[in-house]
Amino acid sequence: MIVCPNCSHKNPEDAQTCEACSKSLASFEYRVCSACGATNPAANAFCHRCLSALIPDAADVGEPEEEPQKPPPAETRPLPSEPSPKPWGRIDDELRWLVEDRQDTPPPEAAPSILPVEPEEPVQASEPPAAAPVRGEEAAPEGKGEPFPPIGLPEMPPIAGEQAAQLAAVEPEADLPPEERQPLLPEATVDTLADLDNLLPMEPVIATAHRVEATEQVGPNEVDRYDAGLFHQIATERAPLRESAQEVLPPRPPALPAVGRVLLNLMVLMAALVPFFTGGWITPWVQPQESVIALAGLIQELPADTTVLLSFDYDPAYAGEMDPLARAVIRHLAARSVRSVVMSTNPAGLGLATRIYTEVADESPAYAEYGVNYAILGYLPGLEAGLRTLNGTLANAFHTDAVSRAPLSELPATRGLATLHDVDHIILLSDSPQSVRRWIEQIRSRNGVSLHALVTARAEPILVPYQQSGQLQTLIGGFQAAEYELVAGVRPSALNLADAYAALFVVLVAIAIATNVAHVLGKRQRRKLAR
Amino acid sequence: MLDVLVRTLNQLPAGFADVAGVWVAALLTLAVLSYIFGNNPVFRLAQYLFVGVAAGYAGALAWTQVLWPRLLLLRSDPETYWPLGIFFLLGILLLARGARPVTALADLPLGVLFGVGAALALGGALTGTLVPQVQATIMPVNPTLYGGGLAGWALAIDAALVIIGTIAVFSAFQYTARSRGFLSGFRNALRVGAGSVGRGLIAVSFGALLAGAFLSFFAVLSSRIAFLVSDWLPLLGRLGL
Repeated sequence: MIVCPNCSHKNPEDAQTCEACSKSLASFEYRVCSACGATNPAANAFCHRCLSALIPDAADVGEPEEEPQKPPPAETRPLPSEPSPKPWGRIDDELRWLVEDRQDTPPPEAAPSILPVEPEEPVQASEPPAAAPVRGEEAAPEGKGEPFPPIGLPEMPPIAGEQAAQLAAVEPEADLPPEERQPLLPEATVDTLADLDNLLPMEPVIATAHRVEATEQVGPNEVDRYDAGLFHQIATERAPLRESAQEVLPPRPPALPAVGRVLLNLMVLMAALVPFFTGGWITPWVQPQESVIALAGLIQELPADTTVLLSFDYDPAYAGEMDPLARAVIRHLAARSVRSVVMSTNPAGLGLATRIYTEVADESPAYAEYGVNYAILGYLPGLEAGLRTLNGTLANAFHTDAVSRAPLSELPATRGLATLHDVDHIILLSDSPQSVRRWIEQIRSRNGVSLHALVTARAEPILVPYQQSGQLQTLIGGFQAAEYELVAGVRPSALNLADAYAALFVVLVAIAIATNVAHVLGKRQRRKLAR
Repeated sequence: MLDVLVRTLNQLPAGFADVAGVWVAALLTLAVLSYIFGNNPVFRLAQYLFVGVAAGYAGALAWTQVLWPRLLLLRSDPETYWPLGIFFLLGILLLARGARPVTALADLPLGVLFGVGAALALGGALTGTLVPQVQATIMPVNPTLYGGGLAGWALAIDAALVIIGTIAVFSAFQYTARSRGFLSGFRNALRVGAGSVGRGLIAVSFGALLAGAFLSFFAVLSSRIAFLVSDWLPLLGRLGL
């Protein structure tokens, strides 16, 4: 069917004008295949999809204005009957044939096709496709528009001898004419193009059972064993050294480090056990530091109606170091009947404070009753933001106390305590310099209230600049609890720890001397060996 | 169920809680000290227990000491304490961080948290640390201002050392190219020399910090051994061990 170039209506083959728009169909461009409906260019003779002829019969189409000119037969030069004695001689003949005029030779017969051939329609590959007639076009002049002459294959010489036998084994029907040969591929019983499901006859292929062929186990033979033994011998035997060569062994790692570590651990352990054998023998040699004396003197001179705010900001992990100092200070405050108000910016600090105050309450009548001379406000969260709330009213930060849940105004210890200005001193018990710095930055810089920091030994060096600048009135390390007890005259509980510290100092000095001597001696020995 | 537990605990003999506490503390102390033999399951058990108990305790304390009292306040007097409601809402929005579809809701409280924290920390660092420390570093080196005599000279030298040490430590953190031009050799030598001195002082400071840390840890070890010897061994003695 012819497609109208104007309105794309499909018209019969013999239509001269379009049935829809009455436009002339002289110069149509597309033709529709009557078998499958595919659109093909006008020049195609066969459908590109189903390969059926687009113009089934010349009689149906009508007499063309011009008969299609058959292209002249392709000329081929037959090869010589006998092969050239030299292998490349035949190639020369082929090349010569390619460059000479092929018009003089008739085209050879087409090679047999390997595709399945339907008996009713044998495919002749040698026939060139018929040119599709184009209406309205004048006959092309001679020489122009001729199809390319087909290239014929040279005639192969007959194969004989061993080659023939080999070919016969591969292709037993090589000498039979094409029509008598059995097709290499099973014939398709169904029109493949009509039903795509049977496009490829897969059933015979799939039905063939896969046979697993047993492979022969090949083990090492005598040659392999010999080679392996030789390789092993070469790889493992030591290289022969000349007489002047020396065998260099890797240096043995010194046994001292492992032994030294064990020894050091044992010595530290012994130092920790010393207090159980000495019972405070270091006491006469304890010299309290200036800061300890200052704090003890300050608390000693506090009037009874003074209020001191204590903040338990250390972790239970450091309770072993801080508890003795905290206990000493609180006992001193209790002895002076100074009111103490307790808070914490560390969640675990409240428990530590409660435990120590319970112990002191059993010893001191001033702290015997909760709420009279001491009160525990509670945990203040929020780090810097929490401390900032203390700059306002204390009731904003602590609406009630942590023990009795009473408002601050109802407890004698906190009555009249509105802001931090009503607190005379703030004593920080902390294990980290960051915590003390927060107090300095958020409280001290805005209120001017005096801060006293009682910290662990690891935090003390970092806070020395704040003491030297006057931002911290007192800075005491946790290991100075024994000194404080001596100066304040409170019940001693930390003096045993002083014995342990003293023993540790002796151990450290001994280790320092021993390691330096060993290093010097070892250096001399290495120099001797090097010479 | 809680009542049953409380009644059961009350029926225990007096001092049972103390004894049980001593045993638990002693066993955990020994578990932690077992690290001297290397990482082992007992040490890890103690480690995980510590982390879990600390987190649980902090959570319980935050509820009982911080959140619940404020909720009661809000309920008792909403007209006065209505800002607490806003902060409660922000806190609840923070929980959205754990749910992927609504995780963006937590951006507001997180922004408030970080913004306020950063502002307070920065302001505090400026007014509480930087300015006072710079002021404290500007010290006279005239001995007469310190009272004269040997003590005055000692304090003057001390002040000079503080100034020189501060400048030297700052020089140790200078990462610039070598100077060129007028007196470039002298300036480069000065900078390199000051940097070396500063690094030496930093090393001394680190040594002091390490020594302080060692002292703290020794104090903890000593207190733990004192606990084992004074509190736990008598319990073993009572058991006949």
